[in-house]
Amino acid sequence: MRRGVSVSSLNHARRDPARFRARTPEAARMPTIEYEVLAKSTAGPTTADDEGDLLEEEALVEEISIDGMCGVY
Amino acid sequence: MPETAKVARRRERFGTLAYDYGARRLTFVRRRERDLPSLPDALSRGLDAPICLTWELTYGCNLSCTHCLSSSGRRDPGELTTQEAVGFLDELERMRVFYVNIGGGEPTLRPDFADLVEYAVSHGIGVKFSTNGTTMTRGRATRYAGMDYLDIQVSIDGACPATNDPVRGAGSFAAATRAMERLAAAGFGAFKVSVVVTRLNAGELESLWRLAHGYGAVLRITRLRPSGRGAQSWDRLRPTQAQLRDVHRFLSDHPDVLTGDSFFHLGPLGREPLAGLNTCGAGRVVCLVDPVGDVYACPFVMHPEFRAGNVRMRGGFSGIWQDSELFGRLREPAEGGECASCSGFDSCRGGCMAAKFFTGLPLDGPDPECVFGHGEATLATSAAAPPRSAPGHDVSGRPVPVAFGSRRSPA
Repeated sequence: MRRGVSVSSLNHARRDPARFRARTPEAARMPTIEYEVLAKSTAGPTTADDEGDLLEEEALVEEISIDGMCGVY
Repeated sequence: MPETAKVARRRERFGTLAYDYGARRLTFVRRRERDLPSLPDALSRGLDAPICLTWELTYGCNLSCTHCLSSSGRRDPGELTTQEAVGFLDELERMRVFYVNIGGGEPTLRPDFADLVEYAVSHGIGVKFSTNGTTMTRGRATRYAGMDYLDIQVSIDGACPATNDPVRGAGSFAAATRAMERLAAAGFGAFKVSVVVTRLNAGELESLWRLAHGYGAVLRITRLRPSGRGAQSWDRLRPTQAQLRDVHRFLSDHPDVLTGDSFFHLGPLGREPLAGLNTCGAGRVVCLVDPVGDVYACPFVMHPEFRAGNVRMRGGFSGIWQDSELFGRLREPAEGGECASCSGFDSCRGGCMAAKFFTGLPLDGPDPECVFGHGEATLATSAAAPPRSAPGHDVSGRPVPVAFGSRRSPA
């Protein structure tokens, strides 16, 4: 479990609604980070596939909505 | 919801995948190569982690919808504890899963629901939850409106009580629209109004579109599958072929309407594909985790045949996603069977695995709602009894008793 956040702290926050409300705006903010490579990958060397390394004419960029995949509600 | 530019990226075997949390859009970047497969073909081989997944928090529900995918009603005593649920979210964070669709049953009935949502969002996992709206007090609507990277989907199956309530229960239309009013009043922004298209409401799509827009929301329509309680009502509720053509026309006329990519089997009706990947993502880019931790290929195939494991097992969810026999099999190249020679195959890709499975049709054959009628022909000649969904959690047919409203005045 992530250090500094525990189930007990969540339970304590529920017993103390005022404190929980004060904490909520901070707790609900998304961290500003870019995630790196997954720990397990079978893709082999990845540097050549790094988006930043590809020239514009080399890259095929395709976009879809997060809603555009079948198999979720 | 605030406009932000937070983006998560991760490398995959095919290239780079990025997710813009604010715009809710995925970007796939691949190196141009000779004979580069299409994006759906590339993704059909699976990813190192799901892009997103559906997580049913509880089987408990205070409604008893006719077509419920998970046959919900009463809580299962084996449901994941709060601690197990937090541990599961930690694992999703480690795997860089971008987004989780939380549902049930009625997920807001779990006492730890709000805590789990806030935990997810504060650990880099975007959340959309589905709700029947019955627990949406003004206070909760305000709280949700103050949270980043949270989306809400209110379920409704008709533009009026006369259409909706026979499917979802007496009073459910009023409860859902009350929730929509409260979300709109709280300034939530463009939440989703989610409709399962049936024979009863297929003629109300324009009205539903106006209803959603009236609350500042976005309409989302999805396909009725013969899964869960839907198996018993599918023959009675599934749209006719003429209605399905109307659905396709409606979607073509309203590109703002979302579908969860659930109508790609209608692709051959048009010259251009509908928005989305237009392919089955089950076990490849998405999956479902049920309230007791069982992992299925998708929410529409909650049957032992499509159960990949349980998150409580050694290796956890990541072990199942990466190494399960079922998901490995789903990610193998599929030839298309008897559909491969059809002119529509590139559009429909043989349709929905769940629809075929629960109607007893072969998985390498046509969808029961194939737009060319090939599925109907096969159904008519098939003597096999279709498989039944996993046992429901509402054996008596009685949902969890929760009164609409509460003893206290709504916040």
